[in-house]
Amino acid sequence: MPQGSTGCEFRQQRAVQCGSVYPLYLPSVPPAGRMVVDVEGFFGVYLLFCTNPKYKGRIYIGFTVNPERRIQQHNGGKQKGGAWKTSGRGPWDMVLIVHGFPNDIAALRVRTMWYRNKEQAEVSGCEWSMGVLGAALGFEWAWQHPHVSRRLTHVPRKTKKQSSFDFHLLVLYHMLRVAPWKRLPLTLRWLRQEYHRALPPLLQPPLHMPLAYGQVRAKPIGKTPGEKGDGEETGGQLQGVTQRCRVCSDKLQSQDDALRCLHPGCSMTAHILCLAKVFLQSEPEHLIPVEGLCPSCGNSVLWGDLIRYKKGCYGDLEEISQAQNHWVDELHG
Amino acid sequence: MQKELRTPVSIVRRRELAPKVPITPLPDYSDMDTPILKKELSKFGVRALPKKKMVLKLKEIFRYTHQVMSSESEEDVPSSQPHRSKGSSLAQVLQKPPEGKPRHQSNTMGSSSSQLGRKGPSVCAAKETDQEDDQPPTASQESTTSSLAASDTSSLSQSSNTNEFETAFADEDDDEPMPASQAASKEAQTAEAVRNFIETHPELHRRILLYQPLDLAALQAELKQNGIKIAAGKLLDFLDSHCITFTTASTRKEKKSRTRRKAGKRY
Repeated sequence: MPQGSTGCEFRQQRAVQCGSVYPLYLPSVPPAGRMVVDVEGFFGVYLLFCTNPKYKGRIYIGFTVNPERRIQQHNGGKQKGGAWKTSGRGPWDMVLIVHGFPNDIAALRVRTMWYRNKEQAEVSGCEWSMGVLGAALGFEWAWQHPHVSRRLTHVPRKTKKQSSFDFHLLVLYHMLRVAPWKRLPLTLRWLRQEYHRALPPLLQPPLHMPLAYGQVRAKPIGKTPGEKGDGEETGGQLQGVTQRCRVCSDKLQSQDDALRCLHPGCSMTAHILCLAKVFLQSEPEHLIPVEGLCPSCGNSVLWGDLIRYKKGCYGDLEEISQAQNHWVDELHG
Repeated sequence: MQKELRTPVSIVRRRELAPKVPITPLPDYSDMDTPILKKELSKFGVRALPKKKMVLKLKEIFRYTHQVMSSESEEDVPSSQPHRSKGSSLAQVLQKPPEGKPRHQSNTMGSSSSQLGRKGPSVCAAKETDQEDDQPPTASQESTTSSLAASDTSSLSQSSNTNEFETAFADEDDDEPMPASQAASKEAQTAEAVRNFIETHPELHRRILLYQPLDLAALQAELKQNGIKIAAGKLLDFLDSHCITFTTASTRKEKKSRTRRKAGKRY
């Protein structure tokens, strides 16, 4: 498939068709009263843009498990938990967020990280040892330090004409295209559409990463799919009847070992390993699939979504409609 | 040595020899500012480079200047007459392998000495990445450079990719050429072995498929038990290229303490 406009269309179809697609209109019933356990499902790395005329054009990159709360902290200043760097310089706009990280290690900052070599570790005042190399996936850190991260050696330096915002956007597009992030089930979401820039044609993110628009809120969800009761009758399917793996036809010994298709009406269950093997048929050199076709209903599914669905945090995002009096507008008003 | 130091003769000798063989510590190039680095380089007729490269270049130059001085003292085999002059004692000190990694010494000496032999005349060569050198180093070079190399490679991480120590700790940049076709094929074999190991261990593979982070050190130890020796740096590269998340013990510790402090609330 050509990477041009058709790629974009495909991406949007994908966004509608599966998953990233956090259900658009969910009943916004507060989960109070129900037995709700917070699943740590949301890990995002965001970009702030400063709208204060005094500091206009400054940006800030951070990590959050709750973007809604985080922007309030930033705009509330140091006392309310905002970062020192952003305190007193607001208001800030949360422009975009990359989310879908499977765990916080993949997203999180690690102060001492993955330097290109010993010299740079020394320059940064870090000891060069194995401990320093930990958590090499740190997306936030690499985004903040593109010229120090060894994964981004090919990213050109910021030019004088380039604004900080444009530069970090470019860095982000590069990051989505390189290991170890390029196969993660990420979503690039523009929270404030007025900042949206067209994707550079040569820096299209991988096709499995949807582009999304609009505000989101990470909502707490019950620990197991059976408990959440969000109108999805998925719980209890494996109880009682012994299910068989769709791929190898063996019995599924336990829930831990099984993946289920997330498409409505499809009851496909399979061993994790079996399904991965099926999905990886076209690229046997990899260990984690990106996406594949459900062997039962034939719909395309992202591996990351299957795992999210299994963990019970699929569809844990609720989109905030523009009509609602939004917290950002309140802050502006 | 102590005996001689007590006698006046040796003091005189030391004074005589001192100017000839000055033992200057390695200047702290890493902490220098860019203008100073430029000035330092201009002393050797090298143009201004990016800061990182300047630091490397200065360290390299330091190594060469150092090497000439110790060989000028005309000590043939350093260990045979250890207390004749400062030059030899210096060589002796330098020959001591860095503590904690003595087993790599022979390896380090071999590769680095041949490298120095090649690079001797071309201090200004910008690239220091290619490894292959067929010319055997001369005897005099070998005796001095090897002693220096043992202490220096630990600080000059970029200069050599072939020895085990380097591959374990310093990682090559992606744009650097592979050291040698042989090493590359060996690497590919190891990577294949790791892949096979993961595929034949369902529990491990399942964890990877569920995006559960692996503990790097534990995985390395497990691999070793199964006869697959892989340097931690290479293992990192492997996991990275497969987009597998992992942690190291120290980061886990850090995380734990942080969450405790913040009572579970993160940003």
